[in-house]
Amino acid sequence: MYTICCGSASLLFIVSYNKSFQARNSVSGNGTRLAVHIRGGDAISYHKLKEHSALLFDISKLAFDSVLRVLQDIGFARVIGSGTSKTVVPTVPYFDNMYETLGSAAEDEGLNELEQMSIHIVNSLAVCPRSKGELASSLGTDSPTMERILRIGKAGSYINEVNVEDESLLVSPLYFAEKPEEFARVVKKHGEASVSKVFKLLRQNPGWPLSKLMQTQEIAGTGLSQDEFQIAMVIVKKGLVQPPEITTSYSGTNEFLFTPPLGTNRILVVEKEIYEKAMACISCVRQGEHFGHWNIKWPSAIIRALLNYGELKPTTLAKEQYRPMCIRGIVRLQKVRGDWWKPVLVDIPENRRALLLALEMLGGGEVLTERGYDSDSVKAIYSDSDYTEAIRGYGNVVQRKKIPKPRQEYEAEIDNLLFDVQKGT
Amino acid sequence: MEKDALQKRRLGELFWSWGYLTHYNVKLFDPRSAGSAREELTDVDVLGHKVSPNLHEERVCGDCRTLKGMSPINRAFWQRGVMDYLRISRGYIVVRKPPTENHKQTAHDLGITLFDDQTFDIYRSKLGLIPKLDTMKMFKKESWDYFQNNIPSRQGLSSLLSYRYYGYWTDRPNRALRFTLMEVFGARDKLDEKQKHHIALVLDSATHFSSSFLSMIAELFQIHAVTDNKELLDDYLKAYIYGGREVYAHLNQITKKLIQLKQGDQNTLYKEEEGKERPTDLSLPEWDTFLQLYRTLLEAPGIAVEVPRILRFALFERILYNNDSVKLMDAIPNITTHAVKLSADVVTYFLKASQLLQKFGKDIITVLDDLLLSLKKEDEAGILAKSQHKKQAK
Repeated sequence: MYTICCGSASLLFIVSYNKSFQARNSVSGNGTRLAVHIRGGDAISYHKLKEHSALLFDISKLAFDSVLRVLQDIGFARVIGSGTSKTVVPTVPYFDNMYETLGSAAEDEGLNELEQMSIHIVNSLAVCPRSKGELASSLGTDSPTMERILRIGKAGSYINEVNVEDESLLVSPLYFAEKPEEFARVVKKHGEASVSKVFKLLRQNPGWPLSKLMQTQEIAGTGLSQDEFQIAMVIVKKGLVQPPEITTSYSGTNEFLFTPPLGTNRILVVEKEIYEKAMACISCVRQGEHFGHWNIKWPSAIIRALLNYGELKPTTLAKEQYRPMCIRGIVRLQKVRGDWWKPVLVDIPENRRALLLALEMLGGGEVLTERGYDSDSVKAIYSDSDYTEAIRGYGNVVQRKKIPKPRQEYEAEIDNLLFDVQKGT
Repeated sequence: MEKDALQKRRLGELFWSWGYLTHYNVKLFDPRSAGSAREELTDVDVLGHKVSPNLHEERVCGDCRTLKGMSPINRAFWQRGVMDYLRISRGYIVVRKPPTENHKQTAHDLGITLFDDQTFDIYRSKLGLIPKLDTMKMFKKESWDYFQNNIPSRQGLSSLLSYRYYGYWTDRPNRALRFTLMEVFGARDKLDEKQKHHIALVLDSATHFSSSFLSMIAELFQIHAVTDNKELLDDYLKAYIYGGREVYAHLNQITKKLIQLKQGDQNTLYKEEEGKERPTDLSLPEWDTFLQLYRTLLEAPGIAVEVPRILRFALFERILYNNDSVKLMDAIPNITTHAVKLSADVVTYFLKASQLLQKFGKDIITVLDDLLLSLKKEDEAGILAKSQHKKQAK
């Protein structure tokens, strides 16, 4: 289920980049970015939020009111007071309700052909890089349109183009942020279908042990052909999948396979630190599932127990099995008696977010909890101090590159802004 | 008697200063009473309830009556019984004449502090009494009389009033939560938004609902902390509200069978309303919003604990009386705009679930919005003053 774009937040981010590129109000996309960051927060000064939105989320001050109006229309915010005391009261819902409602808002706003094609392309790049020529012909799009989509995609950092042996391949950094050229080479050599299958299986079964794959040539009961197995070995050797390892006295060193984290520096899907913690959690549980003395039957149940009860039952293997989680500060290991140790959750929000992410990944479902959330931006919005002072403290969030635009598109955008000014608010 | 009323008010102010939501003259009845006439068992002069910022529920009670022929320690033994019955952790008794040291020591062992008038005054002055409380309406007997004696009685309100006055106090928070909401829901057609006292009654019920809601958070947070999985949360909350998983499963089974009976059999007299979504599981009205509210309050539970007191302030100082001379900050010194925002969230759910949002929303939410805006103004003025002070210091 990682083939995710449509109807979800990725769609909205892509739409937002497309729309801003086309000098239109990127209402629903911007609305998503804003909603994610004010959810659950205090009432905030309208003027402060407007300033922050411009600096943190690239929402122009002229577009801000339209974005806020959409949030009001769908019941995600109330605006009270007037003049200098004008205040935004966030009422953004939790769980999947937020994305469902915003998704509908984006649909209502209407997607043009260019946006639909962008989404289709990113969707098809979710499982593996693809040939640019083949994609263009499957979409039936002409060369100038394809180039325009790619230019916007590159600027928005959700599509990348890589040349391998005179062939142009497209890669989505949303899914393959690291070593895109290597990915493209593997696809060129082995073909899209086989690479897709291997990646899909690895995404659906995060933390699958490398040794099991090598022994059985299977991933979670699905057999791989000799060619597919070779692909799996190549992507491991080239470091295209992330293999954290656990060393224990009873089963040696085991490596666990994960696909790269979702998102890029520009489009935050999951914070890297949280993803790495989630990988550590899953590896530890997989260690127990495949190499323990009493095998764990339901990996998700372990994560859920840790979330619910704050600790796991003591075992004699716990000290070695959960060491990676201990190193990352997710649990501390508490001695019960003799060799019996129990992992106790270090109960801080980051660890809970990591465990929830691990739960979602193990369920093979779409990662919704963490999508697009940037804790630094939230801190900046709700800082008491002056907005520029607050943002200065969070260098990373303002270092996002602007989308380069050709002259005529700048002019079009200025024309639109002039129209907005003329129309008044 | 006048002296008793004054001490009662002072005790209420003291409890409020310690963070409790205060209630006066709480009458106790046996909830299982089968007879037609309701028999009052006893009453509590002042009852305080709060969920502390570390999310533990606490209750205190106070007694100020002069009863001839009853010694202070006898009064303390009586109060201990009341405390056990109502799950109260700490009691206070104010008597006219100074009690003996033996009485005070024994009362202390029972979890009760015994005062005479004079030591009570010392106690009040030393233990953080908020200075401006005496200007507020919500501690005065006449304000409570004005509220309670003027609710236009209409047919159909008796069940709601009966629960609000007599049933609420002895119920466990999960039942109190359910009943407070469902009693208002049941009386929704009888409540008139043009009647100030009906608006007050709805807000008062929302205040009680918020107290029970916070008790629920206090209990579930200790077990599950923050739950971001909607299905799990749904499961936890239903089990809590209906008194356990088994009870819920049983009631849900009955609900489903009743719905099946209503919808599935052509021969029944009931017809399904067209276009209306079929309920599948037993839950409170507007269940999805309830889950959202729970999750929203979990984002800042330590701040949410002030919600009931904000609603009480709004009820007495703004809705019943236009007591503009007092500010929310005078009543709750460390109050934040976030807490007021959360109060609006709770009231919005309560009104939506009882189908009163259209009728009562505007009046009540506007009052809360005004409180938020004026607090924000004061906050901003404070920050500005602070930064100017810093600049000057530099």
